[in-house]
Amino acid sequence: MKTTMNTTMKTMKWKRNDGFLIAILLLLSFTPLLFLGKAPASTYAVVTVAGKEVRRIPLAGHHGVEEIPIETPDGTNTIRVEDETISVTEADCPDKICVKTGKARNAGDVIACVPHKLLIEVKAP
Amino acid sequence: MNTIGKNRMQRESATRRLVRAALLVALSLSLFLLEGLIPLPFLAPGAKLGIANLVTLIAILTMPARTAALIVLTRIALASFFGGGPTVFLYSLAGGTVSLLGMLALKKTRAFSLFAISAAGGFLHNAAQLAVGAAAASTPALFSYLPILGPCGILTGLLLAVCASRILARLPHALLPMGAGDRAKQKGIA
Repeated sequence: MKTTMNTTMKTMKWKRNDGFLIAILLLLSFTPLLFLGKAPASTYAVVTVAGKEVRRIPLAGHHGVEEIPIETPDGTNTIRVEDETISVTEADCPDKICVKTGKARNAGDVIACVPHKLLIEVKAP
Repeated sequence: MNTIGKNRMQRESATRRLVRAALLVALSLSLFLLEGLIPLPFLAPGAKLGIANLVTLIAILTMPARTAALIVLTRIALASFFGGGPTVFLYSLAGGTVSLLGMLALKKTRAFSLFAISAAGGFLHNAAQLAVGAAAASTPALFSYLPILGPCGILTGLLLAVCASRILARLPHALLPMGAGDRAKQKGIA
């Protein structure tokens, strides 16, 4: 027996407009690539807490391992600089997204710990 | 809409509407908590399936706009009580309201099916959260995640739309609000 759902029936079948809308959204997704383009070497990491720069760490040419604890008003994050990469290894924030983001290496890479308002951006001049 | 549907809508008591909305909030919250238990590969910060929005989608398609809005906002408020806290609340609220308003607007045009509506909802959800993040960190650099999170939102949106269309085709009519059809009425369930 056929279902008669008056209000929804018209919206249940794929329409031609759907494809157009989805294509536009996909294109929109990639627009940041145009503005936040790739930069060359001699990278450095900028650590900001609540918009204020607290550290600037050169990454290009860095060798060895260095651990830097960062105290923010909202909690603590441990930043690890390993060779030319930077990552957050420990954080007492609830979601640990910054830790899961993993290693950042290239200009444009970002590690964010939103609960602590901590942001690590890899930049190049 | 035919006259039978209209009559049913008018006759439906406020209590009945409230109970149905409350049930959907509970269902949505359970799905949200359930998703928290499922480990998923970490793709990008904030990327998730968002199965709780299955309820949002069904509410948008079958209920008046303000009921759908009520369900979504209550779910978000409750969800941040259960885990998350104020920051997560702010992010969910931004993502939830922007995607809700977008989906309601798209539905109103009648030019799109639930697939595009839901895909746009997923996209808007992620884009809005990135916008809040970028504003909080006062840098546009966070938008470098949009090429990942945008398509992710579209994909999960489409997935939810497929689920929703299957569910709507099979859901017992008595559980749906107006437009629930004549069969349930004939059987005397409604």
